Amino acid sequence: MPKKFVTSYTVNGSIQNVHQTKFYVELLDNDQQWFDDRIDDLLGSSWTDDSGKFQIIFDDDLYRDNWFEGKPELFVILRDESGKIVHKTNTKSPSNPNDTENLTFDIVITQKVTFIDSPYDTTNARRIAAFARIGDSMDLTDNIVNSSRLLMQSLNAWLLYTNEAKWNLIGYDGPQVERYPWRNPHSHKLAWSED
Amino acid sequence: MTNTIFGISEFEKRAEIYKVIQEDIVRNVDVCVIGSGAAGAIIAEKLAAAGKSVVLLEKGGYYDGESMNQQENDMISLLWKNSGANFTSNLKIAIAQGSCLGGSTVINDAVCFRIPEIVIKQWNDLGVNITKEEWDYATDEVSARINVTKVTDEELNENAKKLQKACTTIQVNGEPITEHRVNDRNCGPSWTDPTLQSCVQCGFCHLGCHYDTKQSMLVTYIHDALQSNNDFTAYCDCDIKKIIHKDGIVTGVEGSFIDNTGNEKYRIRVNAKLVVVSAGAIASSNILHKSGVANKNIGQGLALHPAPFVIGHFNEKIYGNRGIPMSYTCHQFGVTNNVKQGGFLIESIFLPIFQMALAIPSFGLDHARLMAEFNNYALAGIMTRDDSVGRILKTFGDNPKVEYELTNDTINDMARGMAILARMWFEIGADYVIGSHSDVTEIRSAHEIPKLEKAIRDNPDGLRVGSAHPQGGNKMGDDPEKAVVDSNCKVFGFKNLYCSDASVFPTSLGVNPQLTVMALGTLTADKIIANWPSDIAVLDSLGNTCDLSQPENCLTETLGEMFAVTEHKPELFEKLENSESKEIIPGDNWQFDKNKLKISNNLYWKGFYGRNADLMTTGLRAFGGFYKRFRKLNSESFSGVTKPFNVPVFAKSLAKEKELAGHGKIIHLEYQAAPFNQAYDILKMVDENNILGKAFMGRYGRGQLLFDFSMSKIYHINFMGEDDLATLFYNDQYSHTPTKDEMIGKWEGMLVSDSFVTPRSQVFDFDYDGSGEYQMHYNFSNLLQGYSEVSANEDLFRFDDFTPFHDELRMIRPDFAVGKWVINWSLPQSSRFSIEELQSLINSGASTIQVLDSIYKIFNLRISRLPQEIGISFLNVENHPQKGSRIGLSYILRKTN
Ligand SMILES: Cc1cc2nc3c(=O)[nH]c(=O)nc-3n(C[C@H](O)[C@H](O)[C@H](O)COP(=O)(O)OP(=O)(O)OC[C@H]3O[C@@H](n4cnc5c(N)ncnc54)[C@H](O)[C@@H]3O)c2cc1C
Ligand code: SF4
Repeated sequence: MPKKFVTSYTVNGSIQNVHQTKFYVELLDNDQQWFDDRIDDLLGSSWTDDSGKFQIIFDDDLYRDNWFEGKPELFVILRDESGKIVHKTNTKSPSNPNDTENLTFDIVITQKVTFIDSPYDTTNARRIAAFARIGDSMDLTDNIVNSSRLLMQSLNAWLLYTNEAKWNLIGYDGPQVERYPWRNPHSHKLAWSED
Repeated sequence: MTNTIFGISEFEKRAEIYKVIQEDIVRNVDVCVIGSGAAGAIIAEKLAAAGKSVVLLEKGGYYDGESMNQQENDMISLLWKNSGANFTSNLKIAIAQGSCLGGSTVINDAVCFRIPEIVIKQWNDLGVNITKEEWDYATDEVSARINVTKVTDEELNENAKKLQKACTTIQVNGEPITEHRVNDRNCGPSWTDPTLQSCVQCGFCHLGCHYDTKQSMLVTYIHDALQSNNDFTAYCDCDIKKIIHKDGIVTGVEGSFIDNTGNEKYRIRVNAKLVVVSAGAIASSNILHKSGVANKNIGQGLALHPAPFVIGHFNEKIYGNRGIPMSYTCHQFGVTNNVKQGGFLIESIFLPIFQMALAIPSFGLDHARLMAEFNNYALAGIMTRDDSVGRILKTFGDNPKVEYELTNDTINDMARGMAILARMWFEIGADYVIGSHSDVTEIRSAHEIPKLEKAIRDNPDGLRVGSAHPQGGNKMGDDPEKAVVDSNCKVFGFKNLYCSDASVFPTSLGVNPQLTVMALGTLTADKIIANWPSDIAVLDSLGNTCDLSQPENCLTETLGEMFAVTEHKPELFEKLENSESKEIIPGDNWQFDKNKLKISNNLYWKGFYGRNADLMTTGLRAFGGFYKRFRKLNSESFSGVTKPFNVPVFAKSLAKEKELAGHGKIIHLEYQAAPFNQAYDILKMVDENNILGKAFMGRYGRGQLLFDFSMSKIYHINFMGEDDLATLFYNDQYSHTPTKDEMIGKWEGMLVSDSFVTPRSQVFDFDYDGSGEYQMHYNFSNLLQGYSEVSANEDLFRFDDFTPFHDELRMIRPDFAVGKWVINWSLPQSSRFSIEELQSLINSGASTIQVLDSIYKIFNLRISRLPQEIGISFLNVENHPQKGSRIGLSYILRKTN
């Protein structure tokens, strides 16, 4: 058996700018990142200490599973106490065990900015699901004429009268605030108010 | 500000403190209130202020004023129940209700009427022991908080002024109209915009008040509770499905956090000393139905205040949409003018354009022509005081089904009211009038009014009627035979379950109901405080939520998260071992906890995937079930076998504790023979009965994750397998043959396979019919319905349907039974079989089972019996010493009332 040389790397890090300091830190190698975190390429893990610091030591044989793999491409995942992933860093490639700059992860968690859902994005999905939910609450068979009429009239009303062009034709005032009111400062004055 | 609203949707900004839920929630509290509308919000706030810990659970989302953008397309789908698609079962009446934090009070017109004195007396006669003095103090208390004030003359818009003018102009039967006046409304200072002191008069009340001047529950009681130091939390997007109770004591509630299409994301379990159902009319009855509260009056006596409209077209522009939508009322013909039976109010109202388009009963070009005149219309509604003739049923899909037909009295009131209103419009100069009837949409002069009246009476189905005031369904009274709740709103038969909202009204009210509902909420809270059940403790239960101790209830992603941060317990490694016997020995390697309905099974570790509802995981759960069984080899290792339930595969493995980089100590499960040795598992024992696992493909330590799973030795009956069911079924120590009377009631059935217990697949209803004949009505997923004949003696409870199969039942608890749908089968003894023989078997009309068995033999499978499990299926085979060989389905039955 040829002798295998193993080198140890020490990764240090700290987590700042958060209310809690207790995180579970996982150090991963990025060689197959298209598999995201479904790959077992964990190099090490540790809980942060009371001051939010952590240290993980790993041997290079853990990532050197292919002849072409030279430098490790390290990144860190932070999990909260329940295991939820709260942060993922960019990758760093230390050239050797003394490349401390690339073996240090000082993580500053910035305020999570989420514009995930505008409340209105899902309007159509909601409406379709609502009609589907009517399901077995209706005696549709007794009322085919009535139900089709209702459906057609609702569709007609919805297509035409939620439409700004149609409002303008009719001279309807329409909403007195913009579509996403909270995004910009706006007046609470009505178009028709006298003062 | 100390308290928080939790919900599912993640938003940029919210007026109150708001947090997104990312996992199942379990709470132990004093009080749990379901529904945050006119009654629920007040009850929750008052009980929190009285020192109780309170959670308020709301099915709809939390939307603040700033997110109410006055667009009908956006707001109806966000704030209205079922996005506005809410009808009676015959689709004749659209029912508007709110579904958001604050309930219908967020989308209502802010009109406030006190409960009429006549109604107080009528309700007293029906057994409601609430005095006028009590109603008065409660109404005063609420009115002060929500700032009930009279609309000023300056605040009347042109639409309201038209009704005012008409009331002073017209005579009915030669008499002037004397009872008409401006409304009281609950508007006041905005807490979010201090420059606004009262209603901005935008006209968009039905779409929520952007300015926070409408003093809905959201900006009054709920806001107070959130800003206080009291122990109060609100959960939104939280659909409560079930109240948990036993012997008249409620222990908590269960539900789901739902995404915007209504699908479950996370679960919630609240353990509480007292539960109040305030989900509004229809929903409250539905919750009581779904929770199996046994009272035949639930769902009976629904009233709707059905209201048709009459529009007057005037030459001048009215711009009815500008200004307060409802500010003037004609009381002459209603309960507020001492009309004791029926009657109606004529109420000025105006609708934003989309709702107006829905209200005008015509189609195509005609409809477009009428809509073009939008700015020239004056509109008012005839709000009738109808009889409580509707009923709410629970459908197979657990939805409420509202059955309601207009009575002749109500139709006559509508015809009369619409005729009077049409005449009013003509008398003050309308050039034509539009009535809510599809046969006579437009009338050009007062002479044509009788035509409209006749159309209404002859063809009431042509009426376009809306309702915004469903009431009743859980009537209040002093007689449990006729009512659902007593005068304190306590549900009959329960010590700590209350229902308080519009659903408890014993008759329709006759005036817009919000102030009465709020007063009732106030009274209920005060009565709960006065009669607090101090002998009830919180029963700590996880229900069906995800936890390390019951990982079978977790989402796949949560299994992965728990695996990452939970350490394997090496001291429990010993406990990996399963029983020596491979057969169930009741009381030894297999036990059943009748109270908790949990099975502890040491035959093997039963495997579970995540509870996710996506197709892939559902498929895995249904067809990919497995167990792992371990026997000790030496102090360091166990030999194991992994067996998928539906495939004849036994994958041998070796289990050893190891250190694995990143994971720490784990159990490595190494498969020993091809092809399984391409895969491996890593396991963590988290307690004696639960293991978290990950399955990988590839080289140990560097493999590709296939899936996360868990394994348990203790699991709820909702996760049982066919052998578990057979053990319960055939052992007298666990079950007995029920009598006919024991089975009376509704039961829902779930099919059991080894991998999977289905959601509800059938409903059985056992009862005596009118002639005293005992029978069972069955409903299989709404597809197949009918009656079965039941025969029962002390050895066998059996029923037959039109198939050659029959059912047998055994009872485990008064609310839990197990059943089998089976057929006996026997086989020709020869183990080989020819195609010719099969041909003749088919020609002789043999049963499917015999034919199937023959096919097995032709392919020389060298079996004389069908396998225990037939492929991927719920069909199973049993060989019982007395009953013989039988094939069929197994199921569990849970009693629903
Ligand atoms: C468009 C409109 C206009 C109206 N105008 C007026 C008016 O001007 N004046 C007046 O007096 N009345 C008016 N009303 C009626 C009045 O608002 C209601 O009668 C009153 O709010 C009923 O109160 P409630 O507590 O019974 O139910 P609601 O206020 O409807 O509250 C019930 C709440 O329970 C929630 N809920 C339902 N099921 C569940 C569940 N399974 N889990 C959790 N939560 C659940 C609902 O989402 C809802 O938010 C109007 C109603 C509507 C719809
Ligand atoms: S009319 Fe008044 S109460 Fe109604 S939404 Fe507009 S500002 Fe609010």
